[in-house]
Amino acid sequence: MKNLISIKVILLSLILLNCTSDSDTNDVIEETGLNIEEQQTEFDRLSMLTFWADNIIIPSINSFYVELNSLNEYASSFTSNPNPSTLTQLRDQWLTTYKKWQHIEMFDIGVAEEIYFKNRMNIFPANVEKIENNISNFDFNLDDSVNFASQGFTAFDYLLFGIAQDDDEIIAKYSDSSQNYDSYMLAITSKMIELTISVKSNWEGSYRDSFVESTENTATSSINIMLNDFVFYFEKGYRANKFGIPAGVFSGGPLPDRIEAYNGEIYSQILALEATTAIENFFNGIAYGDPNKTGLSIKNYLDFIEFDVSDKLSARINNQLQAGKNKINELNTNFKIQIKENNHEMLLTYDAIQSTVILLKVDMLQKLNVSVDYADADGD
Amino acid sequence: MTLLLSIILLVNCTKTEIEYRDVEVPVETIIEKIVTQTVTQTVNVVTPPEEYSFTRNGVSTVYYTGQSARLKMATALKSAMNDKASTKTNVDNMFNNGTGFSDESLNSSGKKIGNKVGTSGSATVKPLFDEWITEFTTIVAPAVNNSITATRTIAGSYTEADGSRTVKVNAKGFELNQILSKGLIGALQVDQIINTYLSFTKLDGAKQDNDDDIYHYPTDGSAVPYITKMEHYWDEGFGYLQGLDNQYAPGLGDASIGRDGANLNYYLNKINGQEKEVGITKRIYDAFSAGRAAIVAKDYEERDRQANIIGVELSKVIGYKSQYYLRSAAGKIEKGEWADALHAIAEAYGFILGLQYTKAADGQPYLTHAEVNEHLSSLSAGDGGFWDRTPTELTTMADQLQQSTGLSE
Repeated sequence: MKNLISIKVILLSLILLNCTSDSDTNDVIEETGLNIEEQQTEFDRLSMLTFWADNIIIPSINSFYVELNSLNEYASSFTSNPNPSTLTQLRDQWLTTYKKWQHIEMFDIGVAEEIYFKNRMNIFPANVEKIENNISNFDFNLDDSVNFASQGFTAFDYLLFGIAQDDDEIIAKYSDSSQNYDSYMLAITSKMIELTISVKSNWEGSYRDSFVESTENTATSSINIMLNDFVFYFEKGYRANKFGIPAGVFSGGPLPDRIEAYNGEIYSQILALEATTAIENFFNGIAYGDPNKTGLSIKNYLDFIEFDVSDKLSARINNQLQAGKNKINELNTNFKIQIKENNHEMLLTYDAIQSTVILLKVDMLQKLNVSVDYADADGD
Repeated sequence: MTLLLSIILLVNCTKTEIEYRDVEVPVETIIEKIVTQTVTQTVNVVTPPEEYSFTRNGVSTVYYTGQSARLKMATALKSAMNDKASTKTNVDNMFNNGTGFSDESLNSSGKKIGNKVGTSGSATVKPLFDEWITEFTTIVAPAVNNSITATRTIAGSYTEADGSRTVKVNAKGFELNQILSKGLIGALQVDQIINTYLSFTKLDGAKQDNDDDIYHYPTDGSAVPYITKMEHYWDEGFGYLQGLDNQYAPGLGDASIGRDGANLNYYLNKINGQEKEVGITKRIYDAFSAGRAAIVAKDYEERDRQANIIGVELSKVIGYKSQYYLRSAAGKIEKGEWADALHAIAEAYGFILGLQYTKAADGQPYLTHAEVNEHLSSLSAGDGGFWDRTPTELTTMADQLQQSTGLSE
């Protein structure tokens, strides 16, 4: 025991000794904590990457793709026969597909990143003026970045709920093909499918193997990129876009028109909760579509490094995720109403989520020895 | 065992040369040797420059015009929040849009402070500032314009019996320009320095660029980038303290050319006059210089060590002042000097708000957000708010803060 303590003291002084590499020092500490003679095996990064690819990322993209095709079918039924029943069916399918999307937005890697997948599927608020211009002129290029905010789920939200005061008027607009609403809806749907196919085929092709095999710890390796994507998504796509921006955290006052699915209104909470589930599943290594199937995860990775720590970071992260989810559950299903009537609760929800950002971005990445590959650009 | 350790040492610490001549020396002795080595190493690495002056190819790489602009804005807001002619639109524009200042250079600076308030902590803090602005411009200023004398539960202006001070307060006795201005010292200046610009996350996010000598920012008047992101972030932290004063020397700048009279550096200099803290301005200034030099030398452990010194020392300003004004107010109430008392409680209230943005030696703030809110609620409790406070209550709270901060004058 005395020897063990002495070793720890020496190791602590090692840190003070201005070693050239942090990671080396950390490795020594971890190995020693276990037993200095015993060779500590490495965390099985390959298995984690394989599970991510085969049990989370690819299945969630495939499932999304299936729903997207259904969305296309319902859009065809509705546009060829606009009535309250087909409109309801289409809206339901839009929501189903939108929920599936919440599971893949964070995987901004590979082709998804190259084609700005997330920006084209779910950037909000929608550029309503641009959408209306596109519809009336019917001369547009959806691949042009000026049209990123006039396609995807957000544009769909506007087309389904926002183009007129009530359902009768909305149906009337689709009943008159000369107004182009029907054609624009189908154009957007086709584009969503086209983009998804690129991402899907990329994963089904050689990308999957190169992703899985990139097990090293460098700025360009899969784990580092994926962890950064995960944290960035949590900070921007989830925290800021869904909560912070509409609650006015980054502006002079609340901006309720910045909620997700603004025109549908009542879906903002559902979508946020779905995104929360996707985050928890990825962090904990729960297979897509099968809560009973688990694999190596960030949680396991952290626990591996903290094998001798009782107050585990992974537990704190899960607790804080739960705290955030509890706050979201307390909100109005319609975030617009929540913000207008009691924005303080929205801000408290943001606070709970922000606490997780700190755990992920600072504690987790440091623990995993991964550098943040994005920095705020506000150098002023 | 010793052999194993020496292998580890040799493998991991290329910079450190430790000789192991005698394998029979007890482990404890080896420890002492290593510790001695450590101290020597550290001294060798740190060569703090005399002044905060850094150049590349002979051109200065230091600028923080954005921070100077924001400190001027904070100063102007303090006045606007005591000006009965202020309107909600005007003050809101100053705070949230960075426009509407009499100093035109601020209006065109492209800077604002609203979106920099309390960014590291609870999102519920920034809206408080908006509420104070609304409260002053829509309730207090109109009451003052109608010559209403403030009293418990009535907004207006209140003048000390001897005429020495007049405060414009809301129904709870809040002197809002003091609350807002002192609030900004913590929630804007201290928070931006400690929790944003000098934070590990912010600085280390720019590590790769700094390692690779990638320049992002030009010096003034040049189109060519000359400054790395990390260098500039550090300068911006420096600017939130020293932005209205002298870059080349600690403390307040020369009065003849203008200097800070309302913000963090102003209060830091008051602390510097306290017996126990003489030299604090120089300690902080030197740490800024040494940390900046460490960034140029790509020595990030040293950088973080200096950042930590700055965090701990700057936090003391908030720690001391929050107690000081409570005790001061207690004394004023005893003498029946309510204008002075309300003024002091408002200052305490603003400084207490800032306690959640501090960083004590253990890396934690003196008080959490929730603990701060408890104190603020106690101060504003009752229909009369500040008017209802007793000297005992205020002294008790000051004692609690003395306990929490470990600071006493």
